[in-house]
Amino acid sequence: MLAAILFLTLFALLLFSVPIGICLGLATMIVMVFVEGTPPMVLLARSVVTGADSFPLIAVPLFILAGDLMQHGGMSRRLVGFANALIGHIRGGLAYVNVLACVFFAAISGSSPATVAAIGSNMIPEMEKVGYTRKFSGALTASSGMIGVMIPPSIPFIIYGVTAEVSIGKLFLAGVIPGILFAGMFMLVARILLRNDTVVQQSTTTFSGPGVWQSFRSSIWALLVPVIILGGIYSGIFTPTEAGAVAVVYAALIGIYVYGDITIKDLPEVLAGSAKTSGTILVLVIMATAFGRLITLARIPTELATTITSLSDNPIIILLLINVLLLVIGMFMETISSIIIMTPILLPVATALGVDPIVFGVILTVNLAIGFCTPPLGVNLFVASSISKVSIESLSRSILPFFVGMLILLMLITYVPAISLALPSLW
Amino acid sequence: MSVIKWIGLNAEKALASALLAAIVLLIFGNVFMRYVMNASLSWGEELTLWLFVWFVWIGVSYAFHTGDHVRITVLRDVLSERARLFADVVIALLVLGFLVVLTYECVKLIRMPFVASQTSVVLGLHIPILYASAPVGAGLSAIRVVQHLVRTLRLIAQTKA
Repeated sequence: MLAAILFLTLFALLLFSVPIGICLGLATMIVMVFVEGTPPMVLLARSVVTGADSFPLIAVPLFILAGDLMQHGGMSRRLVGFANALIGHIRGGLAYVNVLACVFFAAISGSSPATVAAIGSNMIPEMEKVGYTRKFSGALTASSGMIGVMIPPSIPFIIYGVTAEVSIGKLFLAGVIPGILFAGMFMLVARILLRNDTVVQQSTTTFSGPGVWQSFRSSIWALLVPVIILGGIYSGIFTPTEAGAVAVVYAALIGIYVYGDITIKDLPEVLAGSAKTSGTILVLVIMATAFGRLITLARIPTELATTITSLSDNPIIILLLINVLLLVIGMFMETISSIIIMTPILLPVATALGVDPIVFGVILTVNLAIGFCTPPLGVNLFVASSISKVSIESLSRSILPFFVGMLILLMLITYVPAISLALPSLW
Repeated sequence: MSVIKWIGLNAEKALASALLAAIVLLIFGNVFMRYVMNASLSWGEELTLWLFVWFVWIGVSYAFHTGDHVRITVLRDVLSERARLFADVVIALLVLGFLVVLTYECVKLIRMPFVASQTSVVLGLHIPILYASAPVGAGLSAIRVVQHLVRTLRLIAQTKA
């Protein structure tokens, strides 16, 4: 009863375009008022404060700010230049450059739409100039943008780490190999799609050793960011949250004093932009906290676990069911609130099957990240559509081949935990 | 521009930016003290967390001001322009109702003895200061929603057939 009212209210509000954070809060409030035997509203009032009272969570606005500073400070532009110098000369090179630039940018940004925006605004116009269709470039960028949340830092990993009480440092490492695999897959799909395209097969640049060296030297400060962040975390010098603050200070110093793309006067505007983005993400965290409590109270996790395990006792099938469920949720729901709500529900089921909580974090994030690239609610699609001026419908069709590639890798990551665990187990 | 007008336009923007800058400096300062000065600030983490909770709520209100909160617009997009305005009025009223009740409940919570009489572990600050972030943020958000509501109602009046 409680569960039915809670979810029906939630979906009705979501469909009615009420801001998602408010949907979560309002559905919780309505259940607390109208359903008997639920906790008093004081619980909601408390959780909108205690939900934010977490030191690891502070990493979220810090990595958003660091990413914004690096984009405004000229790092993304130089990373694109370096990627171009490295592989721009091969056939269909710009498509690969696009993917590689997303990988580089993912290592300084923790957000998927931010990666699409940063790389797409640089690459899509360039690709159009040499004959790529905007549909193709848009779909490619929307897909490779999902690498942004797999290669550390990653905001979904931070939220999952906080919710599941798992080491954020280990999650960051676990995402590296899957992220690189996805990059390889997108390059392969692009290669297959472009095999008969004579226009874009001609290379536009020639490879030159000095050119690579020069662009490497100009982007070295950006390439050092992951070294500082990851090196600092894994050598135990600082926590992921502190790494975020160090990255902010580093990005500001490089942007102002080395690259000179921004000045101290620009800082207030960048800060304000990041504060706004953080507000739109963190409202989901504080509102989903009380919502999650109600779900546990309604015993939904245990019931769902029994349902799933009664459908099959084969772990392979159960994991497949979990993936289908998460894919559907990723298509319709916003990522951060999905992680906060689904983690307590599904993690017990997964661990009962012997899935490592770190691996489950990767599976969860990849599923929801695929949802970034699918209609109806796919932020990567929205960003790529507004940059490429291609309609969402048309972009959704062009992304299908990439989507198939994503599903193949999703299965691989689900059933071969070593892909995620290889790096974290070294520490 | 008068002071009041400036506050109306920039209050949350300025506050949220300042809080974020303070959080960065506090955390970075603490790392610096630990490794360079070999003296970690015991109160750093607690103060940072308090600033962060306030930052979250001011940031929420700021995003209401700019209208940037994430929402699903699939159904809204198929509505006619005029129907969309009416839908926006209903949405604003729903959001407003939630925020007002939440503000009221948060104030009630702060006055309860188990919150009102508490102080924090390290700094000895009054816990109500931490908990005040929610009613202040929700209250400010409510003001922003009312501003949007008034603007939408004006638009409806202007486009009257």
